[in-house]
Amino acid sequence: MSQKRNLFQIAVGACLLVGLTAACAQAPQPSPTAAATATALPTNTLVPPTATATLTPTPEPTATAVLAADYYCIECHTNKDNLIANAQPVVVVEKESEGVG
Amino acid sequence: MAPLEPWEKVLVSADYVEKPHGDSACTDCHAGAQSAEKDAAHAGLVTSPSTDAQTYCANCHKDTVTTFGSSLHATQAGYWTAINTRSTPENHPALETMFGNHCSSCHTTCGDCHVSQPSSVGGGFLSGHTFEKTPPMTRTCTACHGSRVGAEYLGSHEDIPGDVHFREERFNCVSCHAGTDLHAAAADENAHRYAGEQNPKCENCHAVGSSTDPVMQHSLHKDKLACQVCHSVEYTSCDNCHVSISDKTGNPMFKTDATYLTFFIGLNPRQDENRPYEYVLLRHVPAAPDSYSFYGENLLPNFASGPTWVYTTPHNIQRNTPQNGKCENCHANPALFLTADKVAESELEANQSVIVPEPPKAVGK
Repeated sequence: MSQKRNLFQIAVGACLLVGLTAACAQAPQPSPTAAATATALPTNTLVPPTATATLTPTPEPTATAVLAADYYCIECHTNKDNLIANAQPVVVVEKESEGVG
Repeated sequence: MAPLEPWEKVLVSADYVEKPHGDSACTDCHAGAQSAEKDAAHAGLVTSPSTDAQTYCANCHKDTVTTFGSSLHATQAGYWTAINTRSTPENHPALETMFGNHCSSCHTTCGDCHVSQPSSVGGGFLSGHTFEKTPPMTRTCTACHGSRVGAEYLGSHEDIPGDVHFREERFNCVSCHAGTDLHAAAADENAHRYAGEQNPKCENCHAVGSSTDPVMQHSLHKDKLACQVCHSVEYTSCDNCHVSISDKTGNPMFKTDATYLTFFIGLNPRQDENRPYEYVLLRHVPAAPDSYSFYGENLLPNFASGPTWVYTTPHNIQRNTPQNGKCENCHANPALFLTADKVAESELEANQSVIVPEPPKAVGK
């Protein structure tokens, strides 16, 4: 009895194996063209970035971020208003040359 | 080009410290002192460190600094070659004073091109003290080379188109004049921009005269005509430049008598294996026997030792020009050639080497 049962199980297993193998053989294999198409998809089809993928903005460099040795130089020379306030008065030089130099 | 405002000339961009060179302390190159007071901070300031490139630039850019030190941009030796041709050693002290007052401001340092505009156009940072690997053309190159090369290349003369390399390809100066060439040591002791091998050379890009060249005229004229003879159009010449110091302000000044457009083909005064051409274009330079008379009498006693119509390579190249349309446009057209009747009588002796005795006859005659 148990021998018959084992034979029945083997037969069922063999049928399933043959069936699955046949199903796999019929499935279309990815062709090189299909693969190339897949890699050439426009980037806007990609999954949009999630909130966790957003880059943290880089902070603007500030005067305090520079070397201490340069503090006064950078503090003044990156400050437009300061430079305007401290600029020497413009001396208009009369053009005395004539013709093309 | 409008000059920069005083503050604009020295405004350092906020992100400068993030960029190459930004990791050095300001005082490493510029000296001065750390102080909130302007005068104290600027005491002993070195405004243009690259004037001493060996000290400030050579640690990292050794090869470039080594050759640049003897380049024409750095030494201005080309001017001295021209001056010495017409002068004598005993006049050198007076001429050196003249040169210091009127010519040496065109001397170029690393920073004059890579950090700031040249001092001859007022100076000031190009971009917040950022070091520019390739300097912007109109704020550096043509700021100095503007009245002739720049105007011709960019097409500033009315009714004369700019150079085809600019109009159609938007080439900038370094497209042809590579950085290695601009930094190169002068070709030889007779320093001159036309000494030594041609560089750039048109043939580097154009297969002129080769077996694949479909233009027969290239083979016919190869090594006989400079490329510009057929492919340039009118360019600027000048007359009689005189320099002096203003009585009124004490500033150096100059006066040129005339500036005008010319196109003259002449004999090649620099014919050698690098420039074998029989015919080249000639441009009148504003040299006069008394150009420097403010600094002394007869400082150019050998004035006639060099031509006043000099070898030139105008930067207004065109594929089609009035002279290259048909053979007879040039071969039967003496108006294009610098013949004796077109040279001032006082300059005939100086220009004997370039005057064309007899323009080419019409083809077949």
